[in-house]
Amino acid sequence: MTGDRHILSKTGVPVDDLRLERVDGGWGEMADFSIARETLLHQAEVAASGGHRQLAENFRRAAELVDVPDSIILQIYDALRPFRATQPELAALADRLRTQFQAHECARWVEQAGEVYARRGLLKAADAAKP
Amino acid sequence: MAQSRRFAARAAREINKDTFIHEWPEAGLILMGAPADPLPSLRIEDGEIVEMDGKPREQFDMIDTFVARHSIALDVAEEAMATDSLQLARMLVDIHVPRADVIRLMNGLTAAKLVDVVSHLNVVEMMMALQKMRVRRTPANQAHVTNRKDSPALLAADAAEAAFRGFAEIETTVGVARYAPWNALAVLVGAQTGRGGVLTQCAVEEAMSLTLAMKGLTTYAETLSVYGTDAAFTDGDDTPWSKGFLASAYASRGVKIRFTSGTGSEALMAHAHGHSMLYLEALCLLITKGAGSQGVQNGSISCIALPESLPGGVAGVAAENLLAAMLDLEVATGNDAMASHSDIRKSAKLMLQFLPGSDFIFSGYSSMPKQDNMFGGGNLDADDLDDYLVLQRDMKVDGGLRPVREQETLAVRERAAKALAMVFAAFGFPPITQAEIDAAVAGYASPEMPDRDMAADLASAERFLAGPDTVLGAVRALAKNGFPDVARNIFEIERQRVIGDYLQPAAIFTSDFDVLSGVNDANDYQGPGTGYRLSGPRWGEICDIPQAYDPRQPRQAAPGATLELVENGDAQPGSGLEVVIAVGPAFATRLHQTVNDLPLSSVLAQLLAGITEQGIAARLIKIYRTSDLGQMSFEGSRLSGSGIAIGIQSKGTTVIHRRGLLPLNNLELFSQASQLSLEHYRRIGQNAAGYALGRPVEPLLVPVDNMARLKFIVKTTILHRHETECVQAGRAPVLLTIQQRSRV
Repeated sequence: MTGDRHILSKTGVPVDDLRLERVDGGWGEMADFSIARETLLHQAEVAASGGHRQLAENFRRAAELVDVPDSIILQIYDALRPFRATQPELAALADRLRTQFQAHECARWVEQAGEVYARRGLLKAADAAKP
Repeated sequence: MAQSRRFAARAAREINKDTFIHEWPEAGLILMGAPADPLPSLRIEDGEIVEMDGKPREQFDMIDTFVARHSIALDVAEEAMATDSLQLARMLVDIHVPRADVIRLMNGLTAAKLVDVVSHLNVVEMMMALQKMRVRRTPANQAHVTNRKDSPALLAADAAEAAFRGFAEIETTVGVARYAPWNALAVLVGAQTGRGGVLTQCAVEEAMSLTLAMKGLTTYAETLSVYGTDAAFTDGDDTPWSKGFLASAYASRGVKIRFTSGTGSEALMAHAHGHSMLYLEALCLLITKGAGSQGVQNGSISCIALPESLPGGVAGVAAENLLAAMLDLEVATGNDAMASHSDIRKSAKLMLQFLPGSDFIFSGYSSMPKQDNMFGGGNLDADDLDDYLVLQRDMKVDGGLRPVREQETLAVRERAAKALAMVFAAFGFPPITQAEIDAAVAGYASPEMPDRDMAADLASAERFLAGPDTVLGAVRALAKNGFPDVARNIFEIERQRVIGDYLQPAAIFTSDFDVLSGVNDANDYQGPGTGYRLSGPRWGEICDIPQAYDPRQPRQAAPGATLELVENGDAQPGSGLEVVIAVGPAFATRLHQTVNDLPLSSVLAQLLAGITEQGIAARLIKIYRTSDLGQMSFEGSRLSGSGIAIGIQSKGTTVIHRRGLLPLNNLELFSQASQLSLEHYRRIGQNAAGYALGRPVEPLLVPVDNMARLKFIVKTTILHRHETECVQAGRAPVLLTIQQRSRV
């Protein structure tokens, strides 16, 4: 399926240069074995052409998250859980995704959650009373 | 009150340990068609859904909002919703309608409409539809690998065996949560030792699960649970948006995911709001689709006994698997939790996924004994593996597994345990001892594993999780220390994250790390002669279970039990008081044991002893022209001086015949040779002599065993075939004399 695509890792290493012998010699860290934004965008195209619209959208959001550090991802996930964040807190996270990481689709996702949580009383207690 | 011992016997059966209840729709205890379930409807204005299943947009709750925004394909929704549900149901089983055409319309249906469609199918039609609608053409299977002690050596050995047996995915979990990084590591190393390309996961709390994936210790995640009501969802401490974000987070690290849902979970949490299980499951599947998960594990999962307590429960669970496939989602079809006390019921339930095939027939086959299953059982477990392999062979169905041999399996287990011990040493973890390796290789379950210092282990596991070591350290240690193949497989599975092809729907790896998915192995079933067909080497592999033997090779005589019979020309009619023993054409030449494994030398010795101890002579002849017992004894009686003959086939079937009776008539017939002991043969000899002497003879009664036909019909057929191959048409009976080397 990869065909002749020129695939690079997140750190820019061509996938053909990811070789056991190099790792064996001490080269490489996990980032070298991480998927790149472009690769996820390609997978999104493959998914879309197979009729998997939502899977493609997911891959596009994922592409935006490639450069978002693990700790921030875990922080956003936690904020999206019910009763964890106020709407301004969610808005701030969306803003950070947009400005710091150009993660526009992810930002919209978080904002949309904020709107629904406000309407359905799923925000942190302080905000829950005034939807 | 009258009491029946038959009713009492049935009451004690396993099936009556299961719980059965009547429907209670208000509590969600109904499979489909609850009075509160909405009727299908959909209204779109300006490209937005303004009414769905009878509810206006203003009344949408969290789940409705999510489904309306993300899950339904608006470009086909009006056409799809306007299509009669019965017609859609027929398209599911119509071989003239390609899968893609069905999927196109299903993408535009609401939850109520989806349920309405499957409500028109009976269970056989559901199976036909699942065969056609599953994503991947080639079916596969997933294993559970866990143990009660979180023993790393045993996890590695069990993962290796599961991979070796053909499981495409392995899921582990923890007894103690802090073991998670170790368990993930043990299963990764074990799996890649057993077979390269097996995907592995560790089911733990969401944040921990994501951390393990980021560290390279897992390659997929599955326990992203979703629910069909707002209340159940938030009780589960998530929302469709938090789960959807997780899905993107995993994909951003190159990790495959599937969601989890299943009938009964909302009722169990008392949050079903009067809706049927299938309606709520349809909502779950729409959430799964809308969030961009490539697939789902469903089929009630850990709640399975709940739908099974209700009318139509097992069919309903098949319907939920089908609903997932209808939405173009990879589906791992449950069978991962104990569904019944009754083996009959468990097997029957399994057939609904096993026969049509699914992307993963089990979303966790307990590949170790169920006592070590930390997911709560497993509908089938390690003890049932041979049964499962036989079912594949019986039904000519690819259930994803292959038969293995004991010695090669033990070698794989040992190598995996040693590989993990090497990695532990490299990381400076408390060592895995040789005693642990030995117990992990050959033991039955974790109680046989030597105890470890848990406090030290957990401290070490926590340091590993927080520290800089990653899976690449394991790759280096293995490559340098005698496990280059394991190192290469782990390296390759990490490299595949960079490529990301296995993020596509229903992806698995072959042992060459080729991806099989809905993209390049799309299910193209469209009736007979299409879709996945079991043939060629894979069918040969399934056929070759270790228990099967070559019927062309008759068993050789046991040492010391050979019998040399010398032929002395044509047998002549006898005179005087004698009993003739007429043996079959393969007797003691090609065949040496009865169907019951009695040596023919011993059988013959007992017959002769029985006759001669009555004071008369015995004469031995061999019949060549037939292998038929009636004809053999008829011939023998014709040549017998007394007119009494014993006919005996080489498989041990025996008859006493008297001259003048029709060939198929007899004095005594012992048709179940499997029931005959040497003592019986002696008494047959005695009785034959008694008839020759004209004494009153009490017929010999042999116990009847209703299992005998089951147990012996194959051997009987093979032995009789060998005997018949020795027939020489037209050859006269031959007189035999014995040169016996051993007396019994």
